[in-house]
Amino acid sequence: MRTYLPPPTGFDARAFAREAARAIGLPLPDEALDDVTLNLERTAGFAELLVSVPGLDGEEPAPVFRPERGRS
Amino acid sequence: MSARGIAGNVLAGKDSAVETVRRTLTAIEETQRLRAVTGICEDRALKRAAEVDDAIAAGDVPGPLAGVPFAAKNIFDIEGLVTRAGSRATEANPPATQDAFAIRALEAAGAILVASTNMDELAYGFSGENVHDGDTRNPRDPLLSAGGSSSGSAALVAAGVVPLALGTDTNGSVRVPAALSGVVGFKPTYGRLSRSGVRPFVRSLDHVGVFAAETRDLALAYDALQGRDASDPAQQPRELEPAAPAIDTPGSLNAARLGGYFDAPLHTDVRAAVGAAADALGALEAKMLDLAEAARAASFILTTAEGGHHHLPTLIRCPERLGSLVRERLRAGALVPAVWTARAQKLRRRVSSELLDLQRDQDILIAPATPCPAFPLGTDHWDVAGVSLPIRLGIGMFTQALTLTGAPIAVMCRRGSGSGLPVGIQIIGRPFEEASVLRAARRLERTGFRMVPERPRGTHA
Repeated sequence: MRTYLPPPTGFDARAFAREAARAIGLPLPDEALDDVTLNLERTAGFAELLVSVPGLDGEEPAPVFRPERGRS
Repeated sequence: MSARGIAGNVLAGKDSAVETVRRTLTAIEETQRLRAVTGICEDRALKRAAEVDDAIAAGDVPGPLAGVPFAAKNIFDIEGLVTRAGSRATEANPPATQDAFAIRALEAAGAILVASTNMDELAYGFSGENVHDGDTRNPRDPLLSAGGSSSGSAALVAAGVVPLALGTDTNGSVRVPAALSGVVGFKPTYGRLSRSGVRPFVRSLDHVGVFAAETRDLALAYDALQGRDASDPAQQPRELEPAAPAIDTPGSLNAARLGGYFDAPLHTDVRAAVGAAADALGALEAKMLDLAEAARAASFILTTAEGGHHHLPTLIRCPERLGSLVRERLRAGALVPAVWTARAQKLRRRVSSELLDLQRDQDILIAPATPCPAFPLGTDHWDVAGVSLPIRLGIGMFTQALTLTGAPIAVMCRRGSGSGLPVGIQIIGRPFEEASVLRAARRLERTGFRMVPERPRGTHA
């Protein structure tokens, strides 16, 4: 059991957060950056774990669209 | 008193729904220190109770839950009230125009909504801590977490204030508070129960769930909650499959326990409970869900990404109305790249298949609900069997690993001999085989997995 997994080597979560926030129009004040960076690093670590699962890229994703039940 | 006991007395004329509701309202007042309740529906509940009493006097049978008071997490719509979901960011929303489907379903069976309950802000948490409404306190020890995010619903049942309460479970938000507060919790199969009128958190993972002090009450409530509702596109077209009538039916249930990822870290009380549950259900063999850790990772990713996307308008317009813990998690989630969520969705398919393979010969699988009993409120890290867990996240590590599969899961509790606190076991069934899960839960209950509701000292029990 690992509590937190390391993010990929070289991933600059702080720089990524700044640029991605601009891309989606999300204001990101400086005082939020430390916590946002920490959370992104944790998420990146979890994402890295999925990279290590063999053959995952060829798998069908879980959601299946059913046009007859498309009402939302 | 149990829901069945209350309904029996009300239907037999030994008690009235109005008096039952009045006693419940008094109990809510007496347990305010738990901070389990965020809204009291006094006028509505007394009016509804009078209708139930009038119907019985006229010779009608209002339903199997006649006069039974219940509470609902404040993420469920209540007509005329703003659905706050434990947040200040939602306060400016318009009031709900009708009750959530689940509330309507329970009231159609004769039950009476008396209160809305406290929760982690926007359902994003496992601890029941809330900067706006105060931290929910565990009735077994008010210094401890009741678990979250459906904290107030679990606490009210554990304190004996109501016999039934509604919650929601995305990553464990019914299962964790059930385990820490010492009540029965149940998350039916994803797609079984309508979520209409429930404020979304992570639509691809959100489930409606229910708490009770005992399995037979829970089965009655679950049966009442079933029913087709075209307004929830994720609901599956299933016939009604009542669980209550067969809950005591004898017959074999092949059971095994989940090992590997689910073996550590475990507090000694949890380890002992897993062993006792395995003995009681004849779960001699350990099965390995090899993708459990990856499933937990995928669930974390989907949760933060979907949650961040869903709340993006709030993050842009009025982030100051969110508590800081939730706000920065949602901000980070809104920035998650699509490649991470795409892999998580593929992992969801893979782990669901893996679990179904394990279930081919097993009606029931068991696993710990949490690594340890309740922890002190305000704790960041907590030692469990020599491992320092970031406890606000780590307490859900065993529930979050199973949530992607959508399997029906009940939590049964007993008192740990070392800690004196509740510890919980997950009882996992095949999709849409809720009746088997509740039969197994009932068997465990008969072997000592049962905790009597209790009022904490100092709440004028």
